[in-house]
Amino acid sequence: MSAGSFHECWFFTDPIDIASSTAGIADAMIENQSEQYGSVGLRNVLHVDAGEIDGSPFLALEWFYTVGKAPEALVGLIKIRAAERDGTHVICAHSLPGYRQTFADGFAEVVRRLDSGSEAADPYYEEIYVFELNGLKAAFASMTMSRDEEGDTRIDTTEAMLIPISSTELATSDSTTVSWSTPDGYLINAMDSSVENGELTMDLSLQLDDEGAWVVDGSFSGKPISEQLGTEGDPVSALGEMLAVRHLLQEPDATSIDLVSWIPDADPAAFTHVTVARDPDSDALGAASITMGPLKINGEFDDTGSMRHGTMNVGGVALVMERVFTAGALR
Amino acid sequence: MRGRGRLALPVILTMAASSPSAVTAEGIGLYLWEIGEVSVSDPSQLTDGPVTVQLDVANVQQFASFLQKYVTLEIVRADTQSITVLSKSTDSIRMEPGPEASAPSFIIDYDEPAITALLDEVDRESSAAATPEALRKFVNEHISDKTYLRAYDIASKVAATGSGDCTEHAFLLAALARAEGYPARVVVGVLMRATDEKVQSFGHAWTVVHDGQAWQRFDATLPEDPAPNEWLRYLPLMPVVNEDSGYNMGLMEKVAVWPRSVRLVPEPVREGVGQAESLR
Repeated sequence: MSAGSFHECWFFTDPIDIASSTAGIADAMIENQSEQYGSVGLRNVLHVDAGEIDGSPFLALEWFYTVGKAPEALVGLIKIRAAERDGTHVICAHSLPGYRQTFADGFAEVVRRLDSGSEAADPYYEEIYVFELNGLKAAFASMTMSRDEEGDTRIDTTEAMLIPISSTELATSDSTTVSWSTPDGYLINAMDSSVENGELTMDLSLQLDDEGAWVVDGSFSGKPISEQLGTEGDPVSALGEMLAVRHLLQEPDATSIDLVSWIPDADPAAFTHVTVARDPDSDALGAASITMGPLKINGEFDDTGSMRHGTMNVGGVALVMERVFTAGALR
Repeated sequence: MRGRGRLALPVILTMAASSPSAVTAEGIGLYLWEIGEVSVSDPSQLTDGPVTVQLDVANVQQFASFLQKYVTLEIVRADTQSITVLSKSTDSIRMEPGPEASAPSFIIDYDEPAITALLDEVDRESSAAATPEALRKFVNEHISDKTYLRAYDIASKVAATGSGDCTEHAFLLAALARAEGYPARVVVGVLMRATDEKVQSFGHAWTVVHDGQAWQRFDATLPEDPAPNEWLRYLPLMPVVNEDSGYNMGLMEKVAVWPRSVRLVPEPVREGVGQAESLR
């Protein structure tokens, strides 16, 4: 970015937690202003956003704040944008009021020019979802699928959320999963980690032991966990869920398919039952629901089994999932 | 749900429990979330007597089954969108204080060192056995960082961080109570609060302790319980029964059927009960 434009950008070639890093940089910038001009008075979340730029998911955050004491108090506005492209993260900040679109356009150009030089295997399929929580675009989820020489699929997922839980408090959530799947969609193993508000809350691995039992190891909610999971059928991968939806929609006589899946947020020490069902009340092509426990997502799926659009209502929360990017082919 | 967003359950729970209208009830230190409000002609006339409350819910049948199974609230009317209940100040959960209400669990983990250290602190403050009320006050003071930023932390974590909202207060108090030999449970429900002009309703969590005869409510978010000069009515909706590592899903079961709005019904719902005693 040009000198004197009040832009700053940071580039990270090692993995970072994009949501908590975004919030952390905003905190550091406001703290820096406070050291120069006096203590922070007001501080409010003005804006959060999530989306994608040519296949790179991004988060955006704006804080409004005041520093110093009246009548010399100063008003400030920090805008932060963060994105990931091919394993490289970039976070840019802008500290002048206004220029929201100009900053967004400049940031998008930075992201498009990122070239990590990564030698990682090329994914055969990529998709990005944006999550709207009660009308607020607050999160993204990205997934890539790549295949090894034996035909198994490695699935990498990243999710990041910025959630203003009050006008002055911002919660962040970052999670990453790496799992391996057989070609027909069964789970081989998985590693899952979550960071909430900058604090590691889950770091787990799931694999078969020498006797063929599924074992979870790691930490959950700050406690060590090492347990054998019950045998309730072979757990499917994300690929397996998509294949199940595809199968359901291709078979006119099929009404539902029951699966078991490892969803550690729900319960790390047990498999979760998932039901994929055709929506009998909808004439829309590809209308189906996914139910796990008390949660039900009503979605529209394409003929590969990938969800275009989904909605879920949980008490007072309306969650909308919108697929905003795909590349490659889901085979 | 991998790849399409695994739904980050703790975050959704936090979202459901706070945004977009998380509030701190100024003056009494409650940390809770607003569901709705209703104007009443004279909130100052509200008493400890029964009141009738209408809860708008997405799944009436499922919600009613929860109420009938777990709490003493009396259902007086149900239609396709809402359930009307008669609320008494003594309403609580409908469960026997079985051994699980006294045992350590994944989330009420009083056998962890962080809780043991707190118990030592409690013992140092008083030579006599700690009462539930003393423990309630202790928890209120220990959690000095009143914030919504914690996503349903388990008791030992709350003990270590001293941070959280109503659920963290409730989990920690339940842990200390069990450690001191009192059967204890965490309850989620609705708290109604009268202000000068209206009655607001909030999602809330609190602790119940069994005194040998009945479950008694203890709200560790309050500096003083009952709050002086406040009309507060607790509507217990569901106890937290899943205390193992799948507790997030258990909480989600509750959030999934949570009332979308709560209203104090200003007219009697049946002869001889409710209005005449509650809204003089």
